[in-house]
Amino acid sequence: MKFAIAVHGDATNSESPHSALRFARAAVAKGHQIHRVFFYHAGVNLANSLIVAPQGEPDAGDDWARFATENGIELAVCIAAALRRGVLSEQESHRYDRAAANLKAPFQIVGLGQMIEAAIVADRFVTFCA
Amino acid sequence: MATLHLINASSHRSSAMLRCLSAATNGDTVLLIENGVFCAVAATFAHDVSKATGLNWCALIDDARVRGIEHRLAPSIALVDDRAFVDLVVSHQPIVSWS
Amino acid sequence: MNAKRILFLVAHPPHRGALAFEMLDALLVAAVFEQKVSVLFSGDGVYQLLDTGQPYRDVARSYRALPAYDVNDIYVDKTAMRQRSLSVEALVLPVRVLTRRGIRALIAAQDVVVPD
Repeated sequence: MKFAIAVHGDATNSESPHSALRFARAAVAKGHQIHRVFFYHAGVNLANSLIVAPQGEPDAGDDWARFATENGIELAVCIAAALRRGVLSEQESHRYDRAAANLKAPFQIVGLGQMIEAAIVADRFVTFCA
Repeated sequence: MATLHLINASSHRSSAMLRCLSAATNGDTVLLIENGVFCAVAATFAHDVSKATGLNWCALIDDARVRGIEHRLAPSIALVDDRAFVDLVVSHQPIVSWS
Repeated sequence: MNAKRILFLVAHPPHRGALAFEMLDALLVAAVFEQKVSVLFSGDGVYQLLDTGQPYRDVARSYRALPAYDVNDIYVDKTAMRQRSLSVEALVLPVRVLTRRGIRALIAAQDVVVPD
């Protein structure tokens, strides 16, 4: 089956990034496809490359990045939610004349339409709430 | 196809459990994840869920284990792993998340 | 591809930072994509439709635009309304009131449910 996964929380006050990653790993291990992982609300913070996780604590953004790269999975970050929370690609950083860009590879900035497209295309849509 | 409900909050923190119970239909499955596994602790479950027959109750075993409550859960809760979670998603639609 | 039945389930009150507007944005995008969009306000979510009479842009005022986006399947939870002493007349747009049974049937009929 094709899954679409939505992550609504970030790693500082939610378990959703970790739960969603465990689910995604199990889905891939069972031979399913992940059409897209869509980060919305505070979930966009996972794509902030400036985050420094304390020694010995898991780094959810890095874990997602590694998983996505190893498995060819799209990590989509909603542009409007990202701008609100200060997660900026080079393009957005220039557009809004900010001092820096901080979008972590391989997360991609996309429009909200990509969440709906994922809901349309996937067989199942699972949301991990904050 | 039956609905799969995911609850990620304890019944003391949130009304998620109450809202889920009023929206769930006989034959649906409820999977407790993250702090939602606290809803499965025997005394809490007996108090909150006494009237909700007809639902299948599950909890993610790893979430119960890291919280030290794996052996304190109500007997009707089935402990499932991540792979079984995936199977539950495959066999239900829609998936409704409550927080 | 057939349009999917997508239910947006609003269960929290307004004024939680950006969350209420972000939910509304997602709903409007789904409508633009011509999906079978419906929205259910339950729990404290019913307060998002309360006509506050405020002059500035609030979520209620934005929800008033739903019919213009061809979103007409707008439901409120009868129990939630009663528990908050709210009548439909206090809301910013016409809604359909659902009993518990109606809510169960609505959810069971969906392909996708988006929580707020």
